[in-house]
Amino acid sequence: MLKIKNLSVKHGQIEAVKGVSLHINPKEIITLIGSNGAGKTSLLEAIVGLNKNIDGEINFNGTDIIKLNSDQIVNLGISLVPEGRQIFSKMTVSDNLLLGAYPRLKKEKVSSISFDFIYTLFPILKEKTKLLAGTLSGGQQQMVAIGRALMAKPKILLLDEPSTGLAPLVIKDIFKILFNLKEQLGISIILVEQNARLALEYSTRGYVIETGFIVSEGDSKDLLSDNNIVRAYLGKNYKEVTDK
Amino acid sequence: MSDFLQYCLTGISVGMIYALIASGFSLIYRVTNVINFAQGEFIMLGGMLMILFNHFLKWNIFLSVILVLIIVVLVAFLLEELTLKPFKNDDVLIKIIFTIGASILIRGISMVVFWKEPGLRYESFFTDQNFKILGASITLQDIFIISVSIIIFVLLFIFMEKTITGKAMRATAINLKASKIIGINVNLTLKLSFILSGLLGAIAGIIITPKLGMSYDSGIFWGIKGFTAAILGGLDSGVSVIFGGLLLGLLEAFITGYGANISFGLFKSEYRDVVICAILIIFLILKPNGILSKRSDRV
Repeated sequence: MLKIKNLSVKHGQIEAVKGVSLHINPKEIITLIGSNGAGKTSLLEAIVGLNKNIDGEINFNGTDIIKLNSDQIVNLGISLVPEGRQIFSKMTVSDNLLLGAYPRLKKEKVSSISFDFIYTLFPILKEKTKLLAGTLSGGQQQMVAIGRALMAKPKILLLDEPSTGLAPLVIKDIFKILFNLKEQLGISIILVEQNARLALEYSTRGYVIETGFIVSEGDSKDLLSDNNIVRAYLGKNYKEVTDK
Repeated sequence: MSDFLQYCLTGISVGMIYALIASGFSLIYRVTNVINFAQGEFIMLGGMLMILFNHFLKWNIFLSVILVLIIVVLVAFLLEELTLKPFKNDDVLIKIIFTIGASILIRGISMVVFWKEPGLRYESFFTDQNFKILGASITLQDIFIISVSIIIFVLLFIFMEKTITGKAMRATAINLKASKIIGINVNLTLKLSFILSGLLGAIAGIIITPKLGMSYDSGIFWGIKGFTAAILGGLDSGVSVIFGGLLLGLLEAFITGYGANISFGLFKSEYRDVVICAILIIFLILKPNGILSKRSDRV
């Protein structure tokens, strides 16, 4: 569905991603794990066309999207839920969601845009629909960010650290919802997550990125039982694993 | 009492013009973070082109207004296209300096194209007829200025709050990166902010010229006044700049009116602009976000 070949991403002089290749199939969740500065965010931003200082090949359903602008890429069906949520804090929740549907408005009328689906997914947002998004709690803001991205009716959803700053219970809820999304809508999800254990539990495959290279890839189950990866990224319980 | 009312009326009339100009500053600033120091030139062009078309070429006043609006919007479009777009990845300061350069250029061209006499006018729709309200007098042109401004602000408000394009502009202003992420064509919204503020400036120039006159170098005067109004109210909201404009207009009217009385004749009305500039400097140092600014974000 999405195939990336030999992608390099530069920030000025610094090469953040160095020749990465990966792919995602329909109805699949994949996880990118890696430490801070490994190039995960740069990779996601390059896919949605935020960084044009890139080289390589990004193929989405047979179309080469590497030269397209971000609005064209969103139109094709790739949406990003950015790091730190980046919602429009001084606008209402419903305006945030409406703007998520912006690419659809070329073909559809504003009055025909429905928020029902988002409100079924996140019932709390329905109660807060007229409030300024900046006044919501962190978890609710994350729901706004995910809802806004879903309003574009994406085929692939990219999530950059959705759990940042959220309580563990809220994180679990959001992951469950994401997992259901994949089942219900059949969309694919690329997940970048600090909480690697949780992300791997919910995903089918994973890629490990270090200093801009993919150093390891495989089924999530295998990655979860790989001692090196457990020691480097999963942290918790590492002693049990290494002392065996 | 009638003095007080008189100063209020004068202040509101000029204040509305300041508010229009300040709105232009704020529109561009909010979307691009650039203070467009060529904003005053839109007002000058609005006035001078009206004088050219209507007063000298004797064209119909409605035709002249439409032509003036088109030309000034075109200038605003070119300003963005030629000075800001090529440098979109550069520092904001560079773009601001470009707008200063553009304003000098526009003034220079205007000096050649138009006339060098100060205080030129064109005949407005209205005669100089005065109305008396509780002992204060107000001209039809003042009433016209106030009502046109109010209509413009209402239209602007509806556009920004209710239409999807307006919402997209506000979104671009709040978070540029997120706007790109959700698929807003940011280049278009940036362009639109320039076009709208050109339109606001042109309208301000058209309606103020019959009252106060215009000359090729008036742009800098209106620019500074509008900027001061924007800083007084707070650049980052559409409502606060209108408040800032009215406040500045009233302050000026009262300083001119009462200044001589309270200082036993030492204060002359010519010092008005000195006081206003002092207020601008004090605000830039102490409260650069404006009187109405507040922080409401929760992270």
